[in-house]
Amino acid sequence: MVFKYLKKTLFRFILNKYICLKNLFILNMIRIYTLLFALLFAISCTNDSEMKYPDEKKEKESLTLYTHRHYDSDKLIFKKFEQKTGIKINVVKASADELIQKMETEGNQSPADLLLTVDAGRLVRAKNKNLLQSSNSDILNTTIPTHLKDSSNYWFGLTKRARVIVYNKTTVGSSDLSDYEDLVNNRWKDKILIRSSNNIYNQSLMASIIANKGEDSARKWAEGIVNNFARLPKGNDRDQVKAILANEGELAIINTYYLGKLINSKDSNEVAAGNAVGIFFPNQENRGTHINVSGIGVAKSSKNKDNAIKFIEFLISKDIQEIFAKANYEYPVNKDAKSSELLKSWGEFKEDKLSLTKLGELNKKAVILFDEVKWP
Amino acid sequence: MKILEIENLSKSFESKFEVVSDCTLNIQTGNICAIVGESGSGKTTLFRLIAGLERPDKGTIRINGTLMSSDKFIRDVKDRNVGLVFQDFSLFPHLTVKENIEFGLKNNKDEKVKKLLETIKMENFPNRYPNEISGGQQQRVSLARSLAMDPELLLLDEPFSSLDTQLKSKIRLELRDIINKIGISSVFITHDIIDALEIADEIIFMDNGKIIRQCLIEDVFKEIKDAKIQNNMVELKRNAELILSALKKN
Amino acid sequence: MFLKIKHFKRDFNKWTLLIVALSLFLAIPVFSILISLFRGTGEMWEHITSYILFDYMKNSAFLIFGTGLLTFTIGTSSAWIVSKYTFRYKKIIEWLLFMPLAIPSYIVAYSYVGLMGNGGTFVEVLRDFGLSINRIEMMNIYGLIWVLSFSLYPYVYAGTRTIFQSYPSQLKHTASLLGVSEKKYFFSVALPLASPAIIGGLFLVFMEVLNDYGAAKYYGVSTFTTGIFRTWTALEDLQSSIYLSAILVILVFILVLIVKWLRGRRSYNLTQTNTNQKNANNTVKISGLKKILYLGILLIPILYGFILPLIQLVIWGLQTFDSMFNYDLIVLGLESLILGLSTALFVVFLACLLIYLSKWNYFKQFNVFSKIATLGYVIPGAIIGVGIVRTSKSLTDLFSFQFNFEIGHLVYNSILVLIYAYVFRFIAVAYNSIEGNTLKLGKNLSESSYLLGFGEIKTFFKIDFPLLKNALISSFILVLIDVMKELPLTLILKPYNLSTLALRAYEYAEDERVAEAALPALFLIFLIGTMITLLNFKLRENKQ
Repeated sequence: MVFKYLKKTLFRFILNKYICLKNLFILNMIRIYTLLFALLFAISCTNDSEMKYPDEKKEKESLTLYTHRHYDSDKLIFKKFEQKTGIKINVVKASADELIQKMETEGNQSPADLLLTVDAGRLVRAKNKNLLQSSNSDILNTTIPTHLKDSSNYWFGLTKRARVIVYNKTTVGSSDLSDYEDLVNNRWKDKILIRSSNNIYNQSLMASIIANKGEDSARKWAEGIVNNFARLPKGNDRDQVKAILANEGELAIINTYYLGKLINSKDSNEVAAGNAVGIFFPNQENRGTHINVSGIGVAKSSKNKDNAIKFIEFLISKDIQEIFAKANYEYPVNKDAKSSELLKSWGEFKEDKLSLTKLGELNKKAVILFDEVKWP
Repeated sequence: MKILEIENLSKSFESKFEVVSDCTLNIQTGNICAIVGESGSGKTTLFRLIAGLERPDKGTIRINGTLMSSDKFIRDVKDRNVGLVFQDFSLFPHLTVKENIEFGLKNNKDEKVKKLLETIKMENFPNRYPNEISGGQQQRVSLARSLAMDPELLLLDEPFSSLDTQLKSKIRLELRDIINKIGISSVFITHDIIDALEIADEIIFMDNGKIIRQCLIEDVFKEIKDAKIQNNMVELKRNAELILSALKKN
Repeated sequence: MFLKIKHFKRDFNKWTLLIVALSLFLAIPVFSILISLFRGTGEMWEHITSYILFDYMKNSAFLIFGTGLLTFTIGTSSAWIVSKYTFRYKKIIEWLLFMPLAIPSYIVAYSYVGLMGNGGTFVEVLRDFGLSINRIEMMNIYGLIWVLSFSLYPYVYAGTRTIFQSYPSQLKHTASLLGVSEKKYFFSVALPLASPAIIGGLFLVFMEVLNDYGAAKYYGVSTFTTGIFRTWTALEDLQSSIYLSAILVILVFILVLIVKWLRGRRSYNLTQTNTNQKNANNTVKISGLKKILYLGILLIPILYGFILPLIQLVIWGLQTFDSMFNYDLIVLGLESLILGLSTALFVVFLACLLIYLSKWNYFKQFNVFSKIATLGYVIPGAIIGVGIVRTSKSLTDLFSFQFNFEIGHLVYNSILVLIYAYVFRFIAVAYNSIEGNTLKLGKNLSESSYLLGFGEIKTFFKIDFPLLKNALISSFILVLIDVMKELPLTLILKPYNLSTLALRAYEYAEDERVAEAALPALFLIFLIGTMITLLNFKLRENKQ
């Protein structure tokens, strides 16, 4: 091994000498480039030595988490983990797509140990791109319901959110509502508020409809929704609820936790908007309401797999799940954990048991259908 | 002795035609030589080639017998020991008169600057900035700045173009005095033949990048056959343009 | 060309080598993107061209047209009034006119919804005055044009003001002697003469518009840039998104060519006229109705571009002050400032190096490379990020295959890579402004210095540097502002232990917690505002 390396270097050295003697131009070029590289190398070694060799120091174990979540409560949880185990969590925050792209190009040398996203589709994509590895843990297998994790344990759901219908309490009664499919009804012409199809939650909802009803009915459904738009899609989920308050439409499709955040907002207008609407979980008579998860997987490049699994187990422990659920108005995946009072007040609901893997697989199809029906 | 020898010098820029085309000329040491030609005839480019600010496509330049540039070799501007006074004088605006003159000097600064300031009659304003002195004064400072380096050859780019006619003849004589006093070989560019006739020892005529004639001042009119012209030198001077076109026809 | 090659040995110098090496080093992302173009379009290309491409183009074109028109009107009118008239508090107004630059446009977009939306601050005020409106609709393409124009017009205002102020008074006198009315003087003399500056400013505006992602996404307007992201993320087709950016770059080039063609051979140079004359008494005092009118014109952009968004941000900031204001925020601010300062230093240094190396190099055809190195401004940030990540990948692969040496931990998550990306993205900002100033300086001065026996580097430090100092400081501050506001590159390339104020604000806004985003945004505005104040001060000093 060493011999081979020496031979290689020697050969290179002789070759360089030969070229140098032959041509002044190349000599200069090599000199300058070496200088440049040496300089860059020196700077990066001196300036950033402590952050670049976190594992060489061995003083403190650490995990690098690539995450799409940026809630303050998460920071608290990471700190708790560090207190408990002494393992520090280094956080790289960006959108899931960028993180996946980053992991893909970084390949084996990626510093990532874990990937945390806010929807299952992206985790499926990461798995398909061979960026995750399977992790076996009894705790994880028994705690997390099967439809909320990957079948071969490449990723695990941490918290649930449902994509529900909210309605103007004064003009609509909950008896007027039934299924997602019913929203294409003429009764809702110019009444439906929903955000752009760029949004991953809409893409996942569409994917679930494709999975349950087939491509053609899904396209017809999207067409029907576009026909019933109260206005062109714009803004975020919160803005849709505010638009109900302003009588721009009567129904909005949003994620549950946004309603929780509106009601608990410091902005009086947001509180008013949150209180003006009622929440309705659709498809209770049949497949159940569409849900999605915030989930996590161990990166293939991880050199600290055991610690990474320990971290995931920590995240789904009862106490932490309760923090998750309370701070962000999400539903915990751990049955033992209690959800917040507000979520309890919304009542139990039947959830769509469709494997979340499907959402990832059909995501692209969903976007194509959105484009075809001109859902902006 | 020749101070400047140029052989087959050519230069073209991005466009195809040659701005300086196959020029050959020699200038005697100690002479003042004028290069006369219309604007666009390649005078300034020739100058920049001599100073080393442009690189020739072909041909050789020697100053005082030393090779300055050829196809294979080029001497760097800063090692040429050539002085050049730009048309706009190019004084450094952030430096005073004194600082401008001593800019290139490494030792003996004060003594030399004092002498030069005397020569150009500016000893009273060493601490003024270029924008605080007149155009004529700026020109003299620029000249002094070049002379401070003791160049072997002094080049002056259109030294009289920005002056009005009344001032012109005064400045011409002043310039001639300064140059003669220092005894430096110099070349200047002008589009006005009167300038040349007044102070030059030699005249070179350029047109379209080519040298059409080089001669001593006394021989300028020798080869012109027209008797009328030969008989009336005074009128000749007044009709400088006529002469130039007559020369071109030859 | 061939003649030059003949003299290769003679004319080749270290500068030639350096310029080629440096430009190639800086242009790596361009080559990386070019190489990926050879891989062909992605599988979704047909879908894109048949369903969405036309809409992207239409929207982007309309957006450019709208913002162009509005920024032109606002920028030139305010520049004219400021440079021709004196009135009380003029200095403050001049400074305030720059301030919209301090607020990232996506933050302006969010705060406008807070102002004009249902129960918004501005709407409530109007209701108190008895108007019966619920909201002013901002979230459409017209709203986007409004928001972008009022946050980007300073690019037009800045350059135009400088030109207007440099007009010698003879120009005006000549016009009056010819019996030209003030209106006609403005439209047929002053404005055409300022066109290089106006076009330059508009070009910057267009680049910002084409690069905007946050505002357009929030307002639900599908533009080219949102399309690039959609193709990349939702359609999972990076290849096609690179093609989309290539189309964008080509469109930008067409724009540049049109600009060049419009300028034509006409000279707009005023340097021929005697600039020694003092222009100080060029301004006129105004009073009466005219004063009210003109002050009104100046207050409109200040109000809509700066004060209104600021009020909304302050309201939000106060709401969330308890939970958001902490030690972390201060650290974050310092971090972004230090990152910005060091990047700006690099950018200005390298821009100078590029400009001067191409001056010192005798093979002018190699200078094309330096132009390639300044292409970063027209390529969307996210695509640059991808290009750089790809390049780092090939670099680490090379090292691990050839030398058995893993440098992954040096390249990924390294602040150097981030700074490199910033340099590539923003070098054009510094390059253009410094180059303009070196051209104004002319080459005679440095040539005089060569003739007096100084080499290139000494000449630079003795002559060019002191004379360019102000221009260097201005471009330094401009780059600093840009870096501190930058989003997509920071998102993709930042090391994990580093964050910036812009990023923090974006995270909260993206998370639909706009109120929480206000405090980091306000801190960012404060820092950038300080920089702008410095710049304004510097520009004024320059004038004197």
